[in-house]
Amino acid sequence: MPEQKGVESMSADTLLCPDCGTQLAVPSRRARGAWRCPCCDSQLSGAWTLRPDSLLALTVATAVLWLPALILPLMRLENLGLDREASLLDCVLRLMEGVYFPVGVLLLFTLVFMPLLNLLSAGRLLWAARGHTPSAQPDPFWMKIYRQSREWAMTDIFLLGILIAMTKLGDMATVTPGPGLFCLVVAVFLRLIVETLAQPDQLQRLLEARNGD
Amino acid sequence: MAINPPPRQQRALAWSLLIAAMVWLVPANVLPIMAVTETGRGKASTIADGIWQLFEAGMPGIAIIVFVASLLVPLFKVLVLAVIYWRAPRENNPLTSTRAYRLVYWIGRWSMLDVFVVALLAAVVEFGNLARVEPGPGIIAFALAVVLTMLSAHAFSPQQLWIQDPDGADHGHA
Repeated sequence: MPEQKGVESMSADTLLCPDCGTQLAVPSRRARGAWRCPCCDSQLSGAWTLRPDSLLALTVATAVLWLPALILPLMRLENLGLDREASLLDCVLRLMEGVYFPVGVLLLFTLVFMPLLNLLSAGRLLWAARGHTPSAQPDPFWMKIYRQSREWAMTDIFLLGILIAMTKLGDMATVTPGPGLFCLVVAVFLRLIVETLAQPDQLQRLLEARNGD
Repeated sequence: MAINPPPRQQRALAWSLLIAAMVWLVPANVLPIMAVTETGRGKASTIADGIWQLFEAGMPGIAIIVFVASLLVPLFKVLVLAVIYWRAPRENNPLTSTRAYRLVYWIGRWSMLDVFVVALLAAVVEFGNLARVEPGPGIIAFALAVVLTMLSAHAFSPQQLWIQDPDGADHGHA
């Protein structure tokens, strides 16, 4: 489903399918699985009940792991008595040298900036969903950031890239995983749990419902 | 509720970005994306070379992943999006087109895989003349092609596939 458009929640009781524009009433029954549009089969939302406390705890845990995942070495390479380590930040800075600066900026955007915004927006919205802000009115700015960052934060793809790079380097040198890789794997895993469970439209409906109380 | 631009305007922007992505895909596949220097001898490789090297090194699984993410998906994406945009003004099977759009939208970001692999190899393999990996010009073109394709898909709303467009006779041309 297009993330930037998302399920446009017209009110806490109504859904608008982002793919075909069909308006639907929010089903009253809570269950496992997901709601799908009867017209275009688009997945509209998770049918489960959102638990902001647990998800906020997972977001905080991800934030704690985020800094070491950025600066600690992802892997160590040993070749003919020489060794070298590289962190996620080193990869970004390496490409920011010389003519490859635009690609370096893209890496900075997708691997550092957007994941950070994803953490901040998820934390801000989940905090509001717990009812700790004076007005629980859904903040359109943070909601938009949350929707966009889910797509443009690409640390999950970077993890697959690390696996491929390690396999490629296996012939050339001895490769040892570093502590940064461990932090990154756990941080990405936690982020995926939060993103899967806290879908933007669900968060928005919860905030709207809180505001209506 | 977010207000989308008119369908014709959406398609014009989506076409422009898609055509730009198509143009950048050519140097992305022709120019080397990285150069590996071992014991003073340098060897530049394109995306296809890298996939073939993985096959030759006995890693067909990884080679297939890279082939799908770096070669197949970018080409598949631009072709599918072009067909969707072309058919959009007079779409008679919106369900199939919407499903194709969703698939393309979901897989698009995975094409960044090769850019990340090159960045990682360039950062970690730096042993002077002994062994060194340098990014190649193809990586700029490839990154641009991936981002432009993603932006093109963003610019298009599949909702217009479900409505009759009164000015649809232009078939999406800007």
